[in-house]
Amino acid sequence: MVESILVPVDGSETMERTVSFACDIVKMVGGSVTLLHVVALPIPAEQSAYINLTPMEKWGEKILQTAEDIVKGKGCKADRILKTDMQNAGHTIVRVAREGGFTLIIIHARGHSRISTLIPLGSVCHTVAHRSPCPVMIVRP
Amino acid sequence: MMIQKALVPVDGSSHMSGLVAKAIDFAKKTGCTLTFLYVVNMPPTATASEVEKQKAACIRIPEECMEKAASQGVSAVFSTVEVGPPGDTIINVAEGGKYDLIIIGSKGHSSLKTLLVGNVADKVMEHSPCPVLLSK
Repeated sequence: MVESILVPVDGSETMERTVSFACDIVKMVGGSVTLLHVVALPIPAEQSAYINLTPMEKWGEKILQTAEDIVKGKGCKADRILKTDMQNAGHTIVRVAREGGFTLIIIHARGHSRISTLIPLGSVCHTVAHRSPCPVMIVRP
Repeated sequence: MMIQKALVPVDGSSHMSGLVAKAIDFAKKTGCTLTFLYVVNMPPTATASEVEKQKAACIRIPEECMEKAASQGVSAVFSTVEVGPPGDTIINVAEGGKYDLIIIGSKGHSSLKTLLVGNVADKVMEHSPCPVLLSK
């Protein structure tokens, strides 16, 4: 069995560790890496029409590019997905995993949160771990 | 980061066989060792002899997992029984034994069918010293 691995990336400090860990897993078990960045806006969907999303999506592309460079540096290849959503990034990650038929999600325990030292598991990781249709590998910071 | 040692907490519940199969599959692909851990959870009022009795009664649970893994071609498998609160004990064993990965099932004995992830898995995910593979 070959794993189809989804790696959500957010540009935080732990991203490099997570992405290179995913490459190590692929080298050991075989399979493919897909990098996902979610531009998540914590606002009601109807308000999103008034917001210019282009800079955020550009920023997302930049994060994906950084992540892809790490993958290339490890001698692997990766696909890229950019999603923009008006809900919790965790739910979007779960939906992408379900629709894309992924067999494993590799995610870091916490990302950008400012109170990161207080909470052991970030909200996005928590949502993904609880709701994911497939196994989840959690990389510690 | 290579994975050489994986810790697999097992609880004898109906969800266990799927977890064991996944762990065996993972070990065969990566070449890591597997340690099946059973945690005896006793009330603090239990006497030493009661604990020993319970330990002896449960020792076959991780041993059977170990035998299954060995029969399916995993070269290095171990089994162990510890006493204590499950979440904390799993984390302590992972820390003390310098494990590279914990492979844990998302559900265990809990009768709350609606719980998406069991409380032991939740605790392990939150406090583990190493990466955690949450099997579904």
